[in-house]
Parts: sequence; structure tokens; C-alpha cells
Amino acid sequence: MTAEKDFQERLSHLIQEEIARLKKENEELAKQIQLLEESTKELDRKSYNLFILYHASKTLGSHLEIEELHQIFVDMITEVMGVGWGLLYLVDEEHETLFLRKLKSIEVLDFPVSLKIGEGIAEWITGQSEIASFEKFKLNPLFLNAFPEIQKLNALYPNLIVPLIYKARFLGLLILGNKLDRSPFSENDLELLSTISSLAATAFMNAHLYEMAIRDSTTRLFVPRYFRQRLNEEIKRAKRYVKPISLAMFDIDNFKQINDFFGHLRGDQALVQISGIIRASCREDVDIPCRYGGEEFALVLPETDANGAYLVAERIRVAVENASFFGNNTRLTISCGVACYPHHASTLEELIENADRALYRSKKAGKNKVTIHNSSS
Amino acid sequence: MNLNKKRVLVVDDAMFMRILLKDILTKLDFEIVGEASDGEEAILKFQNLKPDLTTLDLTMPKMDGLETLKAILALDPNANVIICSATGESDKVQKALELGAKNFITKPFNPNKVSEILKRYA
Repeated sequence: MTAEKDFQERLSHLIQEEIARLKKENEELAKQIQLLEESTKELDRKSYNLFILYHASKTLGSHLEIEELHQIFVDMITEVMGVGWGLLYLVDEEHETLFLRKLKSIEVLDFPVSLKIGEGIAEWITGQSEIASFEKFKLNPLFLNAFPEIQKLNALYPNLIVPLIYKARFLGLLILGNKLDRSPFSENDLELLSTISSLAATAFMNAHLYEMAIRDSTTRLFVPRYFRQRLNEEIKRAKRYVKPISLAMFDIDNFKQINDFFGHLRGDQALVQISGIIRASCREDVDIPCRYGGEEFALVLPETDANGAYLVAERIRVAVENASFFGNNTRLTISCGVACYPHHASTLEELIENADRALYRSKKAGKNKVTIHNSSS
Repeated sequence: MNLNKKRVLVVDDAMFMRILLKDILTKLDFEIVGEASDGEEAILKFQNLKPDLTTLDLTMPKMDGLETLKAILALDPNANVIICSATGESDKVQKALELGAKNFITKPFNPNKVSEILKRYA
């Protein structure tokens, strides 16, 4: 009997021990599962970030057109963050004002079009210029000195402010509304936001530098180097597809006298106004308007024969003739020469030379005239 | 052209969202036959391309997703339309499903979750 009791006790003890061991193992397993779940979540988060960043850097890196880049950036951020609206304010050339350049919003709100930049801007950039909430920025005296008009945004209830800075150079602010599901921004959101914004700042700067390299600073038309490069490409294309391509060269009549009489500032004004007329007469993203020299312009017209180019050049000539300059009804005129590939030239050099020759004939024939190159002359 | 691949039309006003979706869809072996950035363009392309699947953003300028959905379903009541919505648009999603959308995916796109849903239509 005692032996049986003894056995029962030992058995129950063993069972208790086994239960305790299993319980412990179970707890251990639960802990492992939890860890695994956490690391899966973390992996999921990282793969999501990688997915977004990969495409963000590829997209931002493959565009050089500034306006397009701005739109891509605002769309990208508002969609990835799931916010109701996003505003992109960028500095003007004098670094005095922020202008609203692009916005994305699902509702129509009254956004301020500009914000003045204060004297504290440099100090703020070297201080606390990280991404932060609007409320936090409003308590930061450095920020308020940098952007004295920021309260103009109060009525919109902005949530986040993202400074765009490229190597200590302030480019602008991205301002975001609340998330559509009203949830707060997570650590991960802020991390993504900060990385994409610095990618964007670099892309904006690259696009800006590219613009500066290919465009003349006075007239915003293309520079001669870019003109030759594009003309070369277009001639190759014309050759491949057996299409004509024309070149129109323009020269402002009596420009030296304008400069001598009115001064160089007015001379520049005339260049700007005439460039505007040329640009307005072009097919956007097809024709290539350039400032070729001092007062000389070149217009490349792909897939256009000599007669087509003559019509465009004549339209420009008449528009210049009818325009009033310097706000005092001063009249200016322009002469033009047109040559066409392959009819008048077989190489780039020959095309330029023959358009120039036709231009010279317009000048000789009394100016304010368009002449098509004549192979026999 | 691969005749076995399902042909998709991707509709979203944000170019970046189209890029993300195209990447996910291409990996699932769909063929992207067209893109549209607003409702009017979407309807025109739907008519011309007759895609097997259309992903449709709910919030777009000019004509919003619901209006576009109605127009697409009027052209083909059996059209496979997947709605892309932002979180916080559940009322609109509900409406879209009642109108006849087949399913929905939520922005921001998590490639794994979105793939789970889209691969059913591959």
C-alpha cells in the first residue's frame, strides 16, 4: 500500500515537473513566434521602404525638366504619405520670397501664393532645419525669423513642414496636410519623407544646373553649344526617316544703333522681347529656338521644308514689326534667312552657312525680310 | 505580344503611382497595355484597348473614379475593375464595390499585399 502511495506521489511529482517544463517550453516558443512576427514586420517595412525609395530615386533621377520634377515630387509625397494636400514652395532667384510652385489637393483650399523669407534664414538652416510638425516649427524662434509670414498658413491646419536643402543651400519648403485616415505620421513615414526629400533636392539642383548650362541667362533660349548638338541629332534623324529639316537664322536690324542710342539695358530688353516672340511662334518640345550670337537667333524646325519654315519665319518677322518696344512705341525689325536639309545642304555646317547666306541676302535687300536660300546664287 | 498575358490599363493621376503599380503588375506577368491620368482618358483608352483588367484611382481631377467606373461599366458590365483608394476613403470604396468594381487595393501600395490581390486576376 505504501509502495503504491509512494509511486502515486512520485508520478504526480513527475507529471507536475513535466507540465512545468512544457509550460516553460511553450512560453519560450511564444516568445520566439513573437520575435519572428516582429522581424517579419520589420522585413516587410524594409522591403516596402526599398520598393518606394528604389522607384523614387529612379523617377527623380531620370527627369531633367524642372516643372515636371516638381510635380512628380509633390504627387509622390502626397500619395506615399496618404495626405489630403501638399504644397511645394520654392525660393525665387533673389532668395527673398517663397512662391507656391506646385500643389496637390483633393479639396479646393485657399493657399497663399507666396511667403516672404526673413533675415533669419541662414541661421535657421544651420540650426534646426529637420522635418517637424507645423506646431513645433511655430514655437521655434529661428524658424519664425526665417519665415515671418508662416502664419498665413494657419487656417489650413498644416501638419508637417519638410525643408528642402541641398548642401546648406535652401531651396524651399514642402508643406503637408493631415493624413486622410487621420492617423499620426509614423517614424517610418518621417524616415521615408526625409530620404525622398533629399533625393528630390538633389534632383532639383541637377535640373537647375542643367537648365543653366543649356539656356542663355538673358533670353532663356538655348545656347549655341546645345543648338549644334541638337541640330546634329535632328539632321541624323531626318536622314534616317527621310524627312526635311529647316534652319531659320534671325538677326535684329540695326541692333548696334539701338544699343548706342538707348543703352545696353534697353538692348537686353529688346533681346528678351524678341526671344519671347520667337518662342511663342514655335512648336513646344519640337522646334529648338536658340540665341546664336549677340543679336542673332537660330530656330531649328524638324520635319519642316523650306516653305513651311518660311511661313514660320515670316510670322515672326511680322510679329516683331508690329510689336511696340520699351513701352514708348519704339519699332524694331528683324531679318531672316532659311535653309533646308537635304535640299540646300548635306551637312550641319553647310546648313548653317546657307541659312546665314540667305540672312545676308535679306540684309542686303533692305532688311525686315525673310529669304530662302537659293542654291544657284 | 503574348496572347496568354492578361492586359491591364492603369489609371491614376499621379505618375509615380502608375510607376509603382506597373512594376508590381509586370512582376505578376501582366502586360501593361495603357495608362491614363484622368477619367476621360481612361474611358477612351478602355474603349480602344479593351483591357482584361483596369486599375482605377478613386481621386482624380476632371472626372473622379466613381464617375469613371460607372462609364466603364456602362461600356462593359463585366469589366474587371480594381479600385485604388487611399486609406480613409472606405465610404467611396463601398460605393464602388456596390457599383460593380471587383476588388480594391489601398494606397500607399505595399507590394506584397497588393500582389496578393492582383495575382488572382493574372
